[in-house]
Amino acid sequence: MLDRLLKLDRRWIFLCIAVATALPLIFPFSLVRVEVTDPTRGIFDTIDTLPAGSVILFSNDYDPGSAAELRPMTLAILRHAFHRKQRVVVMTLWPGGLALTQDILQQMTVEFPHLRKNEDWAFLGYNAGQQAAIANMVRNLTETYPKDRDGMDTASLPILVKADGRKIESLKDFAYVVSISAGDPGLEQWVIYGQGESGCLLGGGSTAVSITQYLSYFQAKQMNGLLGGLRGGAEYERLLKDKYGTEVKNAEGKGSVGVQVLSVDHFLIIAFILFSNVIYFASKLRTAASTGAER
Amino acid sequence: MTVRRLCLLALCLVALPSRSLPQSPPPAPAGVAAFDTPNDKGESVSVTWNPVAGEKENSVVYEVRISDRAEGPFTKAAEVKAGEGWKDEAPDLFWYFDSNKGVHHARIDPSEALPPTEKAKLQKVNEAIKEAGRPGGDASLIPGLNQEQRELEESIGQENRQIRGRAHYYQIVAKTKDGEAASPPVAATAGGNYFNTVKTPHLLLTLFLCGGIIGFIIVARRGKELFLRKIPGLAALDEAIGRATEMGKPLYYLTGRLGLSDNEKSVSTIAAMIVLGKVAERVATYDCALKVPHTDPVVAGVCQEMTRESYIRAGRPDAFKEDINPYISTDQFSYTAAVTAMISREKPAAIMYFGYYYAESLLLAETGNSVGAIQVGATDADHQLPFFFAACDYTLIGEELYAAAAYVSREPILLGTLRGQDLGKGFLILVAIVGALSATAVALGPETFGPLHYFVDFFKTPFAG
Amino acid sequence: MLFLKRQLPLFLTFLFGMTVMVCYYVPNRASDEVSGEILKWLEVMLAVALILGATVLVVVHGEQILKQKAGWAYSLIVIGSILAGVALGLWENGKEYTEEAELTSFGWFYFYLYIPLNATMFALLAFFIASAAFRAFRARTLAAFCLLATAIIILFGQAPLGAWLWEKLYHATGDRIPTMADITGFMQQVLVVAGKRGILIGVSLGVIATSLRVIIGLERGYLGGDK
Repeated sequence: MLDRLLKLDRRWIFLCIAVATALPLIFPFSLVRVEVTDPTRGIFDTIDTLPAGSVILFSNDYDPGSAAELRPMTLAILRHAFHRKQRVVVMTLWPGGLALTQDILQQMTVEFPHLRKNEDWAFLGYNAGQQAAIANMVRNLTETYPKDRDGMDTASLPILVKADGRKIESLKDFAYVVSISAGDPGLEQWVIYGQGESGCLLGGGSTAVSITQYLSYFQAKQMNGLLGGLRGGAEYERLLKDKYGTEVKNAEGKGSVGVQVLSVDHFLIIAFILFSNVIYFASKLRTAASTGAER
Repeated sequence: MTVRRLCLLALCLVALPSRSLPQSPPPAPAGVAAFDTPNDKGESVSVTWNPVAGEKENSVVYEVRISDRAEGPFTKAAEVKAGEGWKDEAPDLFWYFDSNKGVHHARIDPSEALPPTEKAKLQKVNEAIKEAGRPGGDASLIPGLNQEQRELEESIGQENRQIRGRAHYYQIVAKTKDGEAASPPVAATAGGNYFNTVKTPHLLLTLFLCGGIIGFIIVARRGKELFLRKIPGLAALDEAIGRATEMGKPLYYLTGRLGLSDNEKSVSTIAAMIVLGKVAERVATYDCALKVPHTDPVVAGVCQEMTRESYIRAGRPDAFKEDINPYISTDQFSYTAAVTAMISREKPAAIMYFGYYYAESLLLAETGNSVGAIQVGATDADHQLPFFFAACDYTLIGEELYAAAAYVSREPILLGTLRGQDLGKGFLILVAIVGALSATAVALGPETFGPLHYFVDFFKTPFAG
Repeated sequence: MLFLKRQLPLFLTFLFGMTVMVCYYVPNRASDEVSGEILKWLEVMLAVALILGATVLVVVHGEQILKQKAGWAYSLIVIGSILAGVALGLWENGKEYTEEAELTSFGWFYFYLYIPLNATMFALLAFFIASAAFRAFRARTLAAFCLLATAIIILFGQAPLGAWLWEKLYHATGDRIPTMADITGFMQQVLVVAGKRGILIGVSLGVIATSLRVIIGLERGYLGGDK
């Protein structure tokens, strides 16, 4: 029996995880509030203090695989920036992120109907250059993106003119650079080739599994804020809701719901680990006892 | 009485000027110097000056002014408040030297000196773009932006470069509410540099590391025996190949998810390919089936050639099959789905994950585990190491991936490289220990251990930008 | 032929490797323009790699179909999907939405086929992590126990429910124990980051060494074959 439990068919585990994930999504609940961490507050405070009209570069570097984890934070940051009347230039370094980003922008234009395309937001589209694209943007933005997603000359986009009349020519001219990334090219390349070379103010978000990879950049002040996975999104949503309440539409989004699922799943996995160890030690004790009896 | 009156009068006379001091303009800033900013690409001129006495009490504001003529007129290029804008705040340009302390600094882009008329034109262009910018194709069709404005807009970049390359005059004006005083103008020209001195520690470290590696390669080539500690994961390589041969099942070898030039991590793909060459040779010797599914078409092509040569070297060209290196897909999860399906169907006896991995690591390794394969994971993707630990029998951590090729082949070039790396690592450990102790000592006793900060600053400066 | 296959690639590798290295240390407009130009070429070559990938995929699967090798029907699906995606993309000018914010056929293809397939594969991770944790996190040795204890603490602390429960315990003990944020923060930002930095230094040295061998032509394996 113990041996069978030790080699439990993994499909039972899969079933438990499926049920534990689906139930909180079907019957959402709000068990506890998520505590906000300093790296999250870093991005929130930056966007909250940037003057209206500041131009932010937002790189949406992920594809649908990670959307469940990263989309809540993307939406929360964009909602915050647009609510604060900042202007956002959006791009992606992932081919699979092109339509996803378009969809997010579509949602933003519905939530913020006053937004004017190419003035309050612009979508530069996808660039296949990976880290070379970032390195090139440090030198010249319009050479890297000569045309935007709609085929319009990037140089003529009104959003690339700052409030003081000066043109945004390269990465350092943006008030803030944010990359939400699920891997490479992503946050790490933005730190090495973008922030490292231009000195621009950089913040970002990543999947929870990669968060420790980027914490060293946050500690070294190469990034001033960092959001980690679904929880990061939930933390940002909480900050948004605490400060602006109902002023921001959908401030409490899928991050806040998702993080409850996370609670249930985490506890289930802890239960599995403990269960597995109990069986393991029980089987070891039994083996020791039977060996002793034989002697 | 007369004496007291006289004393009072004297006191008044002494006190009067001191009371009237705040109402007089501040003194002109002294020690003004303008020079090409070191270590930049010729984009700016640096202006430094000594603070005027009592700058904070009198709320002095400094204006850096620029002109293309010594006699002016001067235009404001920057403003520095009292207590701000210090030279030692820009170690990426000037290092953290003591002589930089207590000196004000402003970095000026001389293209600021654009004639006012040109500036006004530029402003107009920007306004026209702002009003006219709508999606719809060619920007030349944007109404309100005439040809002249467009040409001017395009020429601004060119003009800025020309302006930066000319000599300009700079002066510092100290301002208080009571007036202002200007320093005599000083001339400077922005220009490029031939060496970024701040990167000296970088260069020295690079030369040291490269020198060490090349030195040890030479030593190894001369036939000196270099000791290599045992790496359990690689020691299991023969066991895995033997098991696959016995069971009549294939051995899977994956080179990671990156191509040859995707990013700075692509070097791990090269390391994985080098090991593949050696593994393929042994596989050919044992007459075991090999499969190397690829996510990058270039890597697939190169590996095809490498495995072919390995089979030839093993004396088994007949055993080489064209479908050893199938190209699956560049897309992450298409590749993962296809490879997990192949693993489920063919149930390989051993799977080796070398190179750089992302989220697919656990999906692949768990599937491999479920079919009972011996698994060796070797990656420098530190974020995926926990998954390989959980699902693989052996895991090579980080740099062991690079050591693997040397371990498997015992080639002098690779062994020498490894020893060179060890030298570099030893040096870095030493620097980290001495640096940490120095920084702590300086923090605890700046009086006694002050000079130690030069050591810390030397290694800190290149990363100050 | 040997010149094209060996000498020229090695020469180009050396030339561009050294040029980029020199440009890194030389701060002036000329070096900036040279490195910028090289970066532009790299961008173009990376974009070409995408086309190459698609071409190779069509060639490989086309061959499977023509020779009717085992599983050729799957190859047919692959080629059909590629052609459908490309055709819809061209038809709709690469747009997912119309001007009226309605989904185009290309958008439909992306949102209702690509997204679910991609997300499903990624979502499998949750199941696999649970089964791997069940099997791997057993306290067989002291090191395995440390791994297990760390995993439980992080899992507990990262879940809002765990943090909330710990907070209750924290207050119940009269604030005498560290907060969960302190514990997970210490683990993630001190222990983990320190370990990762160590690994990173080792990896970087390996990267430098391999790159050096590639640049100076001692490493030729990546050109296909060792000799």
